[in-house]
Amino acid sequence: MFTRGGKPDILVFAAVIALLAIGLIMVFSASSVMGISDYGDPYHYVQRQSILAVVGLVALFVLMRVDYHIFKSLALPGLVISFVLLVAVLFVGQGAGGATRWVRVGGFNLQPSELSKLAMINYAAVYISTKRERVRRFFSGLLPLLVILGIKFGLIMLEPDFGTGAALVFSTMVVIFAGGVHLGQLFALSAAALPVVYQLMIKEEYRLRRLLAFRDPWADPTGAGWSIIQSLLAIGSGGLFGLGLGRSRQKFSYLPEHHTDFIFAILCEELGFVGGALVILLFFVLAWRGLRIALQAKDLYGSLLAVGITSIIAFQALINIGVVTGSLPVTGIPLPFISHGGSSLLTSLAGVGVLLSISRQGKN
Amino acid sequence: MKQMRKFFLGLLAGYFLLMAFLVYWQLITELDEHPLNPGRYRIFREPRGAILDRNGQALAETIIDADGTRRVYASPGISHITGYFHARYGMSGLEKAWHERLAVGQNVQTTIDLNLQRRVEELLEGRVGAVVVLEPTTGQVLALASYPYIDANALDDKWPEYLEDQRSPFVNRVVQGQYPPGSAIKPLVLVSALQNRTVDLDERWADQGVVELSGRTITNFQRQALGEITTKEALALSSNTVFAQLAAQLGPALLQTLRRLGLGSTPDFSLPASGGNLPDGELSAYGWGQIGIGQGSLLATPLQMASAIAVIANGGRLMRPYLVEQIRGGWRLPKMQRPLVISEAVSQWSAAGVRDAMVMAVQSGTAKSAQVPGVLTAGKTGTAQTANGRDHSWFVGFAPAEEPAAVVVVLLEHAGTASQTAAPLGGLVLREALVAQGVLGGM
Repeated sequence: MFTRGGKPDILVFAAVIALLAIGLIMVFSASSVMGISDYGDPYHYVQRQSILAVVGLVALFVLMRVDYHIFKSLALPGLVISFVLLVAVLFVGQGAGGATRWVRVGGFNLQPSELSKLAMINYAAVYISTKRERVRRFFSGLLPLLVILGIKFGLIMLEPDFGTGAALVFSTMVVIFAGGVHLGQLFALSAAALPVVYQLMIKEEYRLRRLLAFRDPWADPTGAGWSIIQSLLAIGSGGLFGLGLGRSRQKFSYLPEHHTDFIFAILCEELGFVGGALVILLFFVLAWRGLRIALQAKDLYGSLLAVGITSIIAFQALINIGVVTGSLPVTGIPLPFISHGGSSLLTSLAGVGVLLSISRQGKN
Repeated sequence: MKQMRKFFLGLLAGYFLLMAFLVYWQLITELDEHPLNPGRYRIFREPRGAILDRNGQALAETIIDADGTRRVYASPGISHITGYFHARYGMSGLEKAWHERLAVGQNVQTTIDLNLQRRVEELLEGRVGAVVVLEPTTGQVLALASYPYIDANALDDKWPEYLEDQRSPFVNRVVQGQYPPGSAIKPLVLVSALQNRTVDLDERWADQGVVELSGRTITNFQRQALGEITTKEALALSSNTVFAQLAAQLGPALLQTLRRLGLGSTPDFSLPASGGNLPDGELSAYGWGQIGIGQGSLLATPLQMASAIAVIANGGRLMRPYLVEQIRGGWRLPKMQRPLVISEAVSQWSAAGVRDAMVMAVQSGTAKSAQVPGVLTAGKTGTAQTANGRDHSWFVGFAPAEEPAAVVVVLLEHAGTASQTAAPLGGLVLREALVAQGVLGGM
């Protein structure tokens, strides 16, 4: 099961460790006020996050040494398990802010939608690499995969968790795209999906309000525009070098979700443009090296898996920072490695473990 | 797989855009100053340097205890010096001018003597007007009171009331109130005449209570004829006829002297100050006569009057008045203000002559009610006619006359005859100032 391969991609590893370190520091800084008010302990949130970071790193090191081809056989079970969990969360799940996204497992909140992203990517990679040329045929090739993706997206949207759903669709599409599907088919499908997305957008009133708030947050500064405005104020207050670590003002309950989805705003406020740009640069390094690993992978399966994992992380970062900087409508999506939240952290680190495993067997 | 390069380029463009947004929001827009930014208001809950008096007593300090963070002010009227610092109403005065230093924990040390300041505020309480006490040798402001005031400790309760108050409690009358000086200008007219050698102190005048200048008349107070008097007596008894004639003789030379004494120009002061007004161009003999008795278009602030009278007290030397002595503490370099000689405005001899005349005014003239027991005092009253209502009442003076330790200027708006209002108050303030300066024993 373990392989004797080459060396893992050191830049990917370094970027992830750097992001993880910045993440833990920022989670501590951003959550200390909340930790005191909620639990009387400034270390409450960072302690949990640190434990999960250690667990995630162990998983990363193990997976890095495992031959990734064993996941081929896990594709179907993984898919089934993730479906079960996604259905389960709708019935026994726990919620926050009008959404039901977690199931409690052994003292921790597990977010099935995070897990299902990896499962979906892996399944798509196996599916396409096994079918090869036949995937180009629409009904027997592409359609079954898209149906599976559609159901999964639908389940996630029932929670609802638009951000994660979007990342799932995006990254699976990239895998399909990388697998050599005709662009025409993909475009036709995207066009067909647009009305569905539009319906989803305006069906929920809060989503519509967020969309409108995105267009002009200052029109409703104390209502729908609040998050974006507070986020922008935090970012804008940072300037070039920031207010200094721990000196965020917005974390004093002005900015909602300041230790999770909006942590990047606090980071920009405390560490300034220098800190924000460094994080973007690290994600860029990760994307660049990830795609390089994909291009140099031993086989198509490894290549597609690497593309999928890389694009999940890259897309999440892109969407999260886009939302926080007011460039995209508000949707809840964590910033990989940095936001507080165990499921996201564990799946991201596990994904990087697999990515590094692929790099060790690459043609280099 | 080569499609992946396109994908990669797309991703690159995405990250580049994010970087551009970051540049825009962090480096180009100025959101940290946005009115909705709660960060702007955090400064009101953070530790802050104190504003101190000359002996290190706090005029304004931040107290942090179980009740939270409060900015506490030493006296109700002190906000005319310190300004206020309030989460809802923002900041003003020294609090605003030195905010950057105070915010990093530095203290602003003023030249104010808090004990004297408190006494002066008590003495002025209830009377619309201004009192300022200067140390003539240095130009340091020892006390500065203006009534009405806004109590910086009570803004939460009283702000709406302050806004409604027709007496403008926000205006610092010492530095921003511009008034006709009336007869309080006479020491300055006399110093100009002595300087220009157009008159002798002992020169004799026949005062008939009325004088005609370019066809119009200028009269004494209640048209009283003072008879045969010297120039010195003319100042002590406040003869309008003599001073109108002196001014008419001086003409533009008088303006030059007044300008040298700091009138008509905005002083470079620690608080935002007004510059008053001097007439410009040619005036008729009557017009000059009006200036000679402190009427017409002549306007001055109490601070300007104090600064000019300090020249008499100081042997002819004009000092720059100042309020902030040093800023120190924290990691930033201290900043200091030392006494600054603006000019030798008039000769020592001229100044001494005016001083003697002002001593006479307190001993036996119109400013008798300003006498300070046991101390030789120099002073002059002024009752300035106003366009609306009763006359403004002035007292300008200093003591001890031989070696002045304090200059006092009192202005009471619409208070009527100065010898019964501003002068007695001026005497009381002088007495307190001499105690504060260690010239008189404490009571």
